Order: sequence, then C-alpha cells, then structure tokens
Amino acid sequence: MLRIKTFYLFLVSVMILVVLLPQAQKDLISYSVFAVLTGTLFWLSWVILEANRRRAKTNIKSSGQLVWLRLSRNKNAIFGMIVLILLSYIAILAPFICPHDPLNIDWGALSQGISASYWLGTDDLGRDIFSRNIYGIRVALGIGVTAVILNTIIGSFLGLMAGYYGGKIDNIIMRLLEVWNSIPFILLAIAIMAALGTGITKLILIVSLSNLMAFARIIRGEVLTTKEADYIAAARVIGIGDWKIIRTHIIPNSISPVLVLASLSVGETILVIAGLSFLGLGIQPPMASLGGMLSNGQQFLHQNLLMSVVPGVTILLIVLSFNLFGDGVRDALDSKLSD
Amino acid sequence: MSKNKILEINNLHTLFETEDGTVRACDGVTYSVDRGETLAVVGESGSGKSVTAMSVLQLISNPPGRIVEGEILFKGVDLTKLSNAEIRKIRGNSIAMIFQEPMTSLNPVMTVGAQISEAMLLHQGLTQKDASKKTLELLELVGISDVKQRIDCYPHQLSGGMRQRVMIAIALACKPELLIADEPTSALDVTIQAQILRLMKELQNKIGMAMILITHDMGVVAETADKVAVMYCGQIVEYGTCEDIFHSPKHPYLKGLQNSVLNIDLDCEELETIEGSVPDPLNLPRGCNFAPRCPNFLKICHEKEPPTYCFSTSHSTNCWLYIEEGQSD
Repeated sequence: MLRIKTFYLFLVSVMILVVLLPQAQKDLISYSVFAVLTGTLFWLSWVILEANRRRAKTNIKSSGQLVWLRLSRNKNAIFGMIVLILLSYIAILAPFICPHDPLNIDWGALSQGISASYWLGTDDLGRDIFSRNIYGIRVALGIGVTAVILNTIIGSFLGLMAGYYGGKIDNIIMRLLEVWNSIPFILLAIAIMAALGTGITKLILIVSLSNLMAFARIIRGEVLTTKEADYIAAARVIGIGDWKIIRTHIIPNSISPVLVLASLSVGETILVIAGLSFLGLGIQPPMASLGGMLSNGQQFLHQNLLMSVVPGVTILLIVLSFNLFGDGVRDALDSKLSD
Repeated sequence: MSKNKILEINNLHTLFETEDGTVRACDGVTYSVDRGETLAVVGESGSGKSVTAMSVLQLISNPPGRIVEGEILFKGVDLTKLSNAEIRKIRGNSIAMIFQEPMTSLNPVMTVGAQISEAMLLHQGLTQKDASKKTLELLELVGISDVKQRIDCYPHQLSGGMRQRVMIAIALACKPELLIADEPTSALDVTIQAQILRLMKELQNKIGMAMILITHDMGVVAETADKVAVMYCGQIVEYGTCEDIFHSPKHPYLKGLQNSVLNIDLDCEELETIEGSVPDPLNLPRGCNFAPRCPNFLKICHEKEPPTYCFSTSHSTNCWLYIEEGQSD
C-alpha cells in the first residue's frame, strides 16, 4: 500500500476531511463531494494494489501500467497533473478556503492593493479578488469538465453509430453534424442565449453541443478501422451480439484518441467559457467567473493591475496544465511509440 | 438425409455485388460433412473456400454479399432461413471457427483469458468463476504452459503459435460439433504448423467434432483429411476421399496441381505449371471455368458447363472428359 502514490493523496484528503469536519455545515454539498472523492481515491489505490499484486508474480505489465509508466516519465505532463489536482482540490473546497465571501462588497476598501486581510487586493466594488478568483476556478472547472464529459458522450455515441452501422445511418448522422458544425459558434451562442436566456445549464448545453463534430469524426474514423479487424469477425463468429461487440471490443479499441481529445478540449472549453463571459454572454455578474473578472478588470488596467492579472494568470495556468496533461496522455496512449 | 451428416450444403450460390458487376464467389457448391470427420476444402486464393465457410455461419455482410440460392443444413436445420438471434445461438456454440491470422484475430486490449471465457459466459451461462476455471483447463488442453500466468496476458505478449493455440481454445470453449478452420496454419512456420495440426487432430478425436479444414496446402490435406473438396472459381471441381484425390485424380486442374508439387524422390529439372491464370471473377468464361487453361479441353468445354460424374459413391468430378466413363447425375 505504501508504494502507491494514490494512497498518499487519499491520506491527505482524509486529513483535510478531518480538519474541515467542524465547519462541514458551512457547505454540506462541497463537503460530501469531497468525501466521495476521498472514497474514490481509496478505492482506486485498492484497485491498483490488487492489480500490482496479481502482476507481481508474472512480471508482465498490464497496458494500464505501461501507460502510467510512460506518463510518469513525462515531466511536463506530471507538472500539469499536479497543478490540476491542486486546482480541483481548491475548486471543490472553495467555501472552506476563501477568507471572504466572493460576493461581499466592502465599501471601505475599494480597489485596494495586497494586504493582510485581502491577500490579492480588492476590485472596484471592494470584493476580495483572491476569493473571487477561487470561485472563478470552481465555476470554470465545473462547467468545463461537465461540458466536455457531455460533449464526449454525445459526440462519441453519434460517431460510434455512424461508424459501426455505416451506410444510410452514417450519412444521415454525419451530414446533420456537418450542417450543425457550419453555424458559427459565437452566433449560435448568442442565438441560444437570446432565445433561452442566460444561465449555467444553458452555457453547458451550448458549449457541449458546439463541438460534437470533432468527437464524432475522430471516433467514427477509429471505429471504421476497428470494425474491419479480424477480432471483430472472430467475436461475431462466437455469436456475440452487436451491442456487446461495441461495448467490449470496439469501444476499448477506439477510445484512446477520444480520451486525448477530451483532455485537450477541457482547456479549450474553459477558454471558450471565459471568452463568452468576457463578452457578457457567459456567467452573469455578480457571480464570480474568470472571464468576467478579466473583462471587468480591463477598465481599471491603470488603477488596479491585480484585477486583470490574477484571473488572467489563473486561466493561463488551467489551460496550460490541461494541455500539458493532454499531450502527455496522448503520448502515453500512443501504442506505436515503443516503451 | 442420412443421420450421420452434420452439415450438408446443397447448391449454394453466394454473390457479391460490386460496382463493376456481380462476382459469383460461390457458384453451386455442394458438400457434406459427417460427424467426427474432417473435410478439407482446397483451392487457390479467391476460389470461394472462405466464402463458403462464411456463408455457413451467415457472416456474409449484406450488402455487398448475398446468398441467393441453395440450402445449408446443419443437423437438418436450414441455416439460411434462421433469424439473427437464432444463428447467434449456433455461432460459437455448435459451430466454431478458427481464423487464418492469429496475429490479428485476438482483441489487443483484452486479456486472452477474458477472450476465451467470453463464449462460455455467453452460451453456457457459466459464472465468471466457473468460466475462468474452465479457461485454465482449456489453455492446458491446447498445450500452453504456465496457464495461471498466461491467462492474464495480452495477445501481444504471446508468440504466433501460442496465439493460434489461444484461438483454438476459444473455438473449443463450448465443445462445438463442427469446427471450421480457415487456413489455421498458413501464418505459422512449418514446425509450429505440424504441432498445431497434430493438436487439432488430437482434440478432434477427444471431443468428437467434425471439421472443415480450409487450406491450399496439399501436404496439410494429405495429413489430416478424410474427404477432400477441390474448388476452382467458386465451384467444386472434384470431390472424394483423401485416397481418391491423391491416388486417382480425375479433373485436369487437380492433375495439374499435383504435377506442380515437387516430388522429393524424383530428380527433375523443371517443375510443371498450369498454363495461364485464374479468370477474372467478373468475367468468367462460358462453359467450364477451367477450359481456357485445360491441356485436354474438348469443344463442348467452351460451350456448356460440365455435369457431375460419379466414379463411386464418394468420388465425383465436374468435367466433360469422363462423359463415357462415369455416370451422370
């Protein structure tokens, strides 16, 4: 157990859980989400331990182990991963970390610099930039990850159907997606926002539906090559049905480029959301969002640099670490590179 | 139909519609396999051996392929008339198949153990635990050592011969009554070929299944087959017991084939060949398909398709040359 890094992450999480226990009622939802995460970490380290124990005798590495080996050799990817883990801890535990309420306006401290009370100063309305930034991370990661998961599921499903069944189904799905893809994204966002109004769920919907083409195309291509493989014919020969073939043979063999695309597009999605917020289409004030803070800070560039620099650097950090991590995953999953 | 026959193919026609025209990949094939017997189907590439086998399992993808005529009786049931769900129950359970390429016929991201137990979980309703126990037995049966470790291996960690053994284990998982082996040894080197063939023969005797062995290697045929069907351009040109085929070949194509095999006892300068090449499947000649290459063709060969002549109950050929000698069907 002591050789598994996930286990240490679990121990740290347990410690945080214990320390925060007295304040748990401050935000029960965040606390329980964190508790679930901690439990997952324990389960994960247990699974890894079991796998290691089983493989220890044979000295044969599983594909998961090989991927991890390649990933851990990539310093950039590990840097990205550590930053992402830190950021997600911060995002989940935001209510417990923030020294101030992000919406609380302090009329006595407008547009201040760094101080003991306000670690990164205050904005033009006297709100704590540090707290707002942390809530901004929470929102960005939350929406970004949710949107990408939705995007991946819907896009991959469409691509899978198109690739596996081919013919008419393929034509219908891909042509419809091409039509959908031909609508400029910003125009689409403005149109949907104008029709349905703004809000986080609508934002997620727009972002997750806008990028379907990329996922559908990539998995369709993979499926087209995979389904011609001999082992698919062999699976058919032993009488396995379509759905089981898709589940156990096609998906595991064609999922890796999708995973890479997903991990790379989280960063992109966060940028898009920040961009929409910057334009006033995304998360609406007074709720904290990185893009909104940036757009707000733009007016005060000469008076208060911190207002733009802090969210700007945060966006940079998030997107950079997602890209580094995504690149690392791509290299690690690429079975053509030797180990 | 005799009770002993496990598979009977009658006048099977399988077509492929291509952009350039129709390919008659399987043009009136008729053969049968008895219980426990080995039938070898020989012929060159593109002669329709594999298409016939795929037709048996209803694995011809439609479009472009289509079975237009004929029946495939498996224990008296016509497989061409079964629904998808019904044929799935037969695949892997009563009829199993081994593929040519052990390198690509295993799923690279699944352990071999999981792939072997897949069919048992599906058809026999075993629990995961029983299935993995039987998987170990199967791996041992096909002659793999260290089974406890091998069961968790991925295909890329095994050699070609071992992968073919795994393929055999998968095929035998449900103790099928009929095994179709589509060139099971072509991708292996000669020593491994002999091992695999011996293994298959042994297991066949143990389980008592019938086998259709598709190959283009006459040596393999001589070693393993009870009956032989020789195919050319989608048709069976000669059909008989192993003895008939090797000792009294009738069809000029088969004679040509045998002359083109090097005899180790004879000292010869030049090996005989069959003149010409296989006709374009889109554009088959009129009459007998082999006529343009036949050394002793008759006028009628170019005009009408030859009927079947039987020399004995088991030996028959489709050729005009025997019009007087044999009896027409």
